[in-house]
Amino acid sequence: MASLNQRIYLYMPPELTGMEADTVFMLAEYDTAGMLVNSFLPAVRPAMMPYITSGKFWNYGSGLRFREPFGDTIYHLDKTGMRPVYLLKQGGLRFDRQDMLTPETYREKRMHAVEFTGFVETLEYLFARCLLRGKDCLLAYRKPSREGFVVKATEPGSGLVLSNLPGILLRPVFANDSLIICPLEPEEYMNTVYPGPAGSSGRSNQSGQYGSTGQPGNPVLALGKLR
Amino acid sequence: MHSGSLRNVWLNEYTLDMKTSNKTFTLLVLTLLFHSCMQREAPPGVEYTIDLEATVLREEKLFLEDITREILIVPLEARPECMISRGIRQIALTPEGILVLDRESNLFLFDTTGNYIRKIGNPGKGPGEFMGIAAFSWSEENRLIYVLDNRGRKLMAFDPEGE
Repeated sequence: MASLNQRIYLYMPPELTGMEADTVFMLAEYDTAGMLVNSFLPAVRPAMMPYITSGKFWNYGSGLRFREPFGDTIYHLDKTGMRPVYLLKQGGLRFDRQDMLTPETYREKRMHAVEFTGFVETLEYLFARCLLRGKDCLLAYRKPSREGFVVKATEPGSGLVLSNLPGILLRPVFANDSLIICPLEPEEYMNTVYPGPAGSSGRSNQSGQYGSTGQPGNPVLALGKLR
Repeated sequence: MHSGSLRNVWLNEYTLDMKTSNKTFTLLVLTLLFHSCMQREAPPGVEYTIDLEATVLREEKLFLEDITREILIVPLEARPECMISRGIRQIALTPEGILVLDRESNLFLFDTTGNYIRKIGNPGKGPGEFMGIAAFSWSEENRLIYVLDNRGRKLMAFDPEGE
């Protein structure tokens, strides 16, 4: 096995590690091939701060899943340890750590690559929010049929849509076994639901769907109860 | 002569069979080598292999209704003390409501109809305060919210009351 050249800290709820709350960090070390060589350790050495973002570290069932940074593998973590679940064969769409070293390489590479920004998973689907060749995109992988595709919207763009609001693109940020949540920006929602020159000012007369707050400014959530 | 011709025919057939067998064997070895090489790409135990280049060539519409049986539109209450800054970074569902982390490290708890309940934690360098939230996690078993303070280099736990 090649020498270690990367290590990251992750964190997970203590019930998954059996550790005390102040020692629930997990040390993951990678060799040059990107393979995981060991997993759980108390974080007694703050040698390197974790680089995690919520979208790349998500709950699934009784465990947690995360994508190896810049890597091909999505792992599942639970009380029994860690195992690979997904392999992302990126081919010519690969976006590497080296591509972020300079603004020039970043700009150049992102126009040809997939840059993942977050994942959400249900029993049936894995959704990946990403920049595909520089444009916001939602990818879906249907697990039962093992099919991956770009979620094409009715309007230009990529995302889930509601049949009665086809102009709003939904990109999920949370899911569990029974629920999926997609945020909508308030202006986008108001302009679609109440189009016309009156814009959002018209909503006070039609507050039934928007709710009782009567205040603009915070996002609207679409909560879908999964089949 | 006749028997010699017959033997030659048999030899030719045998040689032909051998050639065919050799080709078949070579093909089999190459297939096995190719298969093993392909398999080496995937770590053992991988359940799903996603070919991204093929994925991005395929487009499909997917309505939220296709995967859900009911959809609720929940506007999050907007008061000065619970304004979400620069968009939502993370959401988690708890028995008490919906936890929403924005891009300015504000962690809010709303009920499932969108009414604001409380803010979890406060920025700062003192005990019980965080310098910035990189991510959070809801622990169903412990009924605690774990907050990862990236800059403060600590992991903090809050109950749903924010204590």
